[in-house]
Amino acid sequence: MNPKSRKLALSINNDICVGCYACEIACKQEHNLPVGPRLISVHPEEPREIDGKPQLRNRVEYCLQCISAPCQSACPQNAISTRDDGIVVIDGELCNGCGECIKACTFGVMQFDDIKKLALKCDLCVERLDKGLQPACISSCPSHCISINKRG
Amino acid sequence: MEKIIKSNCRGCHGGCGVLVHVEDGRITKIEGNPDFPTNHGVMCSRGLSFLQLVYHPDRVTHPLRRTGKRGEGKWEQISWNEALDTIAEKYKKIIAEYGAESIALGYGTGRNYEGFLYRFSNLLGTPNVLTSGHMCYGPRVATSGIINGKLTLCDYENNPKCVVVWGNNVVISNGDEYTGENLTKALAQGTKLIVVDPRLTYLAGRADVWLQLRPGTDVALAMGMANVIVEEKLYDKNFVEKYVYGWDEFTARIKEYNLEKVEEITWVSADKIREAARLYATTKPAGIQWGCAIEQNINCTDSVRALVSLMAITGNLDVPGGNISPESPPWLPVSQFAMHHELPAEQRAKRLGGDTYKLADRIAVITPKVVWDAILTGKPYPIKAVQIHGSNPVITRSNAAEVYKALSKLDFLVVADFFLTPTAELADIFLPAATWLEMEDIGDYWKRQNYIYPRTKIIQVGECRSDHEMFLELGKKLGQKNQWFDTVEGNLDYILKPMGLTWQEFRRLDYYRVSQKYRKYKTEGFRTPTGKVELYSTIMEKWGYDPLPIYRETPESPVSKPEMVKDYPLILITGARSPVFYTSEHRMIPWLREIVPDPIVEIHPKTAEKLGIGNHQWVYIETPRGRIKQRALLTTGINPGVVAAQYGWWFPEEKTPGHGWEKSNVNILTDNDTKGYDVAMGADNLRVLMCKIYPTGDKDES
Repeated sequence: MNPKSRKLALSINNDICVGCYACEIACKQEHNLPVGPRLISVHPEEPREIDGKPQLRNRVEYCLQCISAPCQSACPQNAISTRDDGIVVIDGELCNGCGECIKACTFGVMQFDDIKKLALKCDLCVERLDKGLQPACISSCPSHCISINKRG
Repeated sequence: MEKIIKSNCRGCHGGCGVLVHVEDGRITKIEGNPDFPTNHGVMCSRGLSFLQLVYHPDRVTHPLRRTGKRGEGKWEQISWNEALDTIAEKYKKIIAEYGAESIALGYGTGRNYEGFLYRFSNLLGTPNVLTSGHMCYGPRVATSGIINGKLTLCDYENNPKCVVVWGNNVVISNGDEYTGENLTKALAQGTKLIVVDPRLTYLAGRADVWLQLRPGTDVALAMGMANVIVEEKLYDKNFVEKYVYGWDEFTARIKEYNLEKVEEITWVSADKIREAARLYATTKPAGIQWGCAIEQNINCTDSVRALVSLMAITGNLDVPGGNISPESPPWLPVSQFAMHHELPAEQRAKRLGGDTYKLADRIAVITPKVVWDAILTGKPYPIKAVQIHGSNPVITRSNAAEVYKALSKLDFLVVADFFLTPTAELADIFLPAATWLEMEDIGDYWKRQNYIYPRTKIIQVGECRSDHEMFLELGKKLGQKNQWFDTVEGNLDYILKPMGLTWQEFRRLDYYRVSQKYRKYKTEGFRTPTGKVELYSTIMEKWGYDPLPIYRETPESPVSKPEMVKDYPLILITGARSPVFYTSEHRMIPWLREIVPDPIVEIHPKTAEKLGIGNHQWVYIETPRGRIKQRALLTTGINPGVVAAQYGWWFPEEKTPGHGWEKSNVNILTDNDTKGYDVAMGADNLRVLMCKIYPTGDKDES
C-alpha cells in the first residue's frame, strides 16, 4: 500500500493507561492551551471486575480523526478540513466560534477556547509530525499506551 | 531564535532528563529528553507543567520583610544584602544569648541542596535540622544502613521477574527514584506483580496478587510472608548460611506470626499471604519497590527491617534484577561536604530528641515535634529562630494546629520558597528561591542512584537565588568565609574534584553513569558490624531497642482503642499520592488544578449510603483533633471500614494570608503525641487514624 494513502489517528490501549495525566499536560503545553479545553483527557472509571478481579481503568477521550468527519460537515465557515494523511484540522483564521462542530462531534471531544472564542481539536501535533517527532502526548506517556494508528 | 538546552527536571527530587526550549531569554517548553537513560523522554504532569510555576504571577521574586503583625500578610521588598544582613545579625544575637542550638534549620522533601544546608548548619553549630527524613525515605536509608549497609532499590535494568510494590504508587508519583516507566515496561514483558496497598490502585488491579491489608499492619504481613518462606523452605539456604546474622533468633520471632494470627491482624487471607510469599520467593530475581507508606506510622523502622529480611532470605539482595545498592560516584561524598565532622560533639549531644530516636540521630535527622515543644515550652532549651527552605510544615507535618502555633511564637522565622505558602506567610524574612532552571547544580547529590547529571542556569527570574547560594552567602556573613569556596561554582568544583572534573567540564556532560557491581558481599561482606545482613540487629540491640522486627498495633485503631469506635468508627488513611500534585505543592498550577480542583476523600458506597453521603458531596472528616472538609468520592476500591483522605491541601487562590490552611488540611486531623512514634526514627503516625465522617450540609457547593 502507498503509505501516503494511510490515514493517521491516535490509538490508545486503555488497559495499560496508568492514569498519570502526562498526556493532558504535554498537550496543554504543546498547544499553549488555557484551562478549559482538553484535547486529550483522562477519566478514571469506577472499579470493575476484569479477568475475575477488581481493576481500575482510565477512559481516555481523544479525537478519532473521523473519515467524513461530522465536525467538518457541520462547520458553516469551511474552517475544518481533512489533510491527505487523514488528520482533521481547524483553520483558526476561518473559525468564527459558532460551536456547530462541537454539537456535531459524535464523541464529544471537540473543544472550545473560551478566551479566544475558537473551536479546538487534536491535530496530532502536525508540526511535530512534520519534523519527524511523535505527538506530544505519545512522547511523554510513561505507560506507552498511546500510538498512531495507520488506517487505510 | 529557539535554543534547546539539555537539563534535568527537579519538579520532585529529580532524575528525568529534559529538553528546555528557550526563545529570546524566555523558556517556552520543557519536554522529556528521549536520549536520557533514566526516563527515555517520558515525563510526569508536574514536570510538564513546570513553566506555569516558573512564570506564575504569584511567584515571589524579591526578598521580603514583614511589616505588619506576624501572619498579617504585610510585606515590604528589601535587597538581598539587607535580608541576609538582618538574618546574620539576628543569628549572632541568638547564638550569643542562647547558643547556636537555638536556631533550627529546615527543609522539606529532597531538593538537592542538603549538602549546602548541613554545611551551613554544622558550621553554625546547630545540631537541629528539621526535615521529612524521620518519616520519608530517611528511614529506608537509615535502617538499611544498619541492617544491610546501604539503601536498596529494585533493579529494573536487569529485568526482575517479579516485583513487589509495597506502599508505593510508583507509576503516578515516585520522587524517591526514577519514573514508574521502568515498572510499566517490566509489566509489559510479563513480570509478575504483587501489590500491597489498602486502596485499589491501577497497579493493585493489574497485580497477580493484591494484598489489601488493614492500614498500618505491614510488618505483620511481611513477617507472615517470611514465616511461609521459612516453613516451606523456600529461602536461599546458601545465602542464609553465609551472609545472614541472627537466623535462629529471626526464625524464632517469625514463628509468632503464624498465618492464622497474621490474617486476623492484617485482614488479608492466609491463602493470599501464602500465594504472595511463594510467588516472591520462587520467582527469581525479584525486587521490592517500597514507598514511604511503610514509614509513616509507629512501625516505621520495623517495616523496613522486615522487608530487608524478605530480600535477604530469598537471596535477592545485591543481585541483578533484585534489590541493589547503587554505587556512589567517586566524588566528595555529601556527608563530607556537609561537614558533619565539624559539628562539635557537645553540640551534637544537644540534638533535640537525639537520645530518644537514635537511628534518626545517626543520620542527623530530628522529629519535628521536639522542635515545636522547644519553641512552645522552652524545654529542654528554647528554639528562637527557624530557617526553612522549600517546606510547608503547616500543611505537611502532623498536628498542624500545633505547628502553626509554634511557628507563630518564634522570635524569628526565615522561609525560602517560590510562593507565600501558609508557612511562609508566618515569616519575618522571605527569601525568593530559584527553580532548577535558574541555577548551576549537580543533580542527585544526595540520592543513592546510578546517575548524576548537571543542571545549568538557563534563565534568571527576578532576583531569585538558588538555596545553595543563600547558604553560601549567609555562611560568609556568619564567620564561615574560610570554610566555603567563594562561589557556588567553586563549591561544585570541590565536590567534583575527586572525579578529576571541574564544574565547567561536568556541565557539558549529559550525565555521568556510575557502573554497578553486583554481589559485592562475596568479597566485601555487608557494611554492618558483623559483616552480614543483620536480621538480628546488633546496633538496635546496643541502643536498647528490640533487635528483631516486631509488629506494633498503631496507636489509634479499632484494636488499640476499641473505646473510640463508637464515636470514630472509620479508619482514616492519608498520604496517598496524587498524579498531579507533589506533597503540598502545585495547587496554584492552573493545568494541574483543573484536573483535581478539590480535595477528595474516598469512601466505599455502602458506607456512604449508611452515612447519607452522595458522590462528590462535601463532607466533614473529624478526629479528636479537629475537622476538615473534603469532597467524597465513592469507590469500591477501598474497604468499607476505611476512608482515604488526600493530604497537602491549601488554597493559594484564597488571598487571605492563611490561604485556607485549616480548611481541608489533613494534618489538622493527625496526632503528634510521641507515645505513637516509631521508637528509633521518631516517625509520627501520619497514615492511620480513626475518624467520623458526615455531610457538611452545604447545598450550594455540591
